[in-house]
Amino acid sequence: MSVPFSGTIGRSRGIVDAIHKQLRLLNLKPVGRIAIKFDPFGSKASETRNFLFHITLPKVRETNPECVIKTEILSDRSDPNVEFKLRNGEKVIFKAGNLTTLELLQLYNKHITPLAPPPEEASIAIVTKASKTKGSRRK
Amino acid sequence: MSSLTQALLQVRWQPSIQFVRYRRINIQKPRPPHYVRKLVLHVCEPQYEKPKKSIQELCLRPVFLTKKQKVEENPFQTLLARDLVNWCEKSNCIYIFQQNSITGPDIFKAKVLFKRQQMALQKYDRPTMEEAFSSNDKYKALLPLIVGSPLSLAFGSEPQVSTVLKICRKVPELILLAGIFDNRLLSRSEMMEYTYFPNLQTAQAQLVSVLNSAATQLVQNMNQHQQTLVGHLEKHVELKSEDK
Repeated sequence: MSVPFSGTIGRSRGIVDAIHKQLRLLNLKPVGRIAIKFDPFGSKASETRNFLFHITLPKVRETNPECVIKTEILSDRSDPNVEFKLRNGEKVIFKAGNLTTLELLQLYNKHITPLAPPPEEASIAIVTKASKTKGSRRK
Repeated sequence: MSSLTQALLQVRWQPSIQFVRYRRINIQKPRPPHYVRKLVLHVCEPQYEKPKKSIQELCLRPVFLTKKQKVEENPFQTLLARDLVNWCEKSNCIYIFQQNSITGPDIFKAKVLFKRQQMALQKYDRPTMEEAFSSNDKYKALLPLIVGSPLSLAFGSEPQVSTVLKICRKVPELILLAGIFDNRLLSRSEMMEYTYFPNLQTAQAQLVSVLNSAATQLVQNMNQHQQTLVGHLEKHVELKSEDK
């Protein structure tokens, strides 16, 4: 008896691809300050350290250069913790002890990225040849 | 008439040769055929039946079976690992940083800042570090740090935590995680405490004075009663001599 076909055409493209997909969606605009606390010798710190690495990528930082990212290195073997201070005064805390990097990014994109204001569309006034010539004539 | 036909039949037919081709035959990159011809050729291509797969092969294979084989030993990596261990053995102070995404020119500037303080900033990849530290008992404690994002190490001869922290402020991509001072692994808070310590000779002198103080105190306490008795007796002798 074989296992019935589950409906997926192929296998998933892997965790790295999933992380990159989340990074493309990431937007730091609603955040004013990010504080990442972890103990490097703690057993659960590696995922948070990866999250720190991903959130400080230049492409992500470009979304909001004013956002301050602070890291606090603890030495008490406590669970890692990520704190976001939003611009609207709210505070979001991710207790990252049992979360993977991908889950952290997904949670960010679920709860914080939607708060970002819609991108402003640059209104470009259409300059036609005729209007240009008219303006020059008036002079 | 018959003679004419006979004469005609007897004439030998001679084919006329005319050279049409004046270039080499194009074999390597032949002209694509006409569309209709191409269709016909495509239709006429023989189709062979593929060998049927067994039901086990058709099902999705579990991931652990499709995992890659272990990578063979890399001699260059072994060389780098040995180099890393040599650096660690040579230097009294090792600072361990997490290195976030940084451009080439920026990391060069950081290296210059470290070089000015007689330190060397170096980056090794994870497998090299694992190879170097897992084989050496002294540095096995560093293995939990290696998991995850990339690390870079700064090697120096003297502890200069405050200077290193100043450099870290200039290069925010480098995050100080831990350090090894005099073959002792210190966390970041312990390193900060280490900065307030005096140097080794002063600390030794302080220890000697503390150890001596107990002995001197004991001698003082032991002598105190005798000395007071002697003092009283002297006073008594003085008083007696005045009375006479």
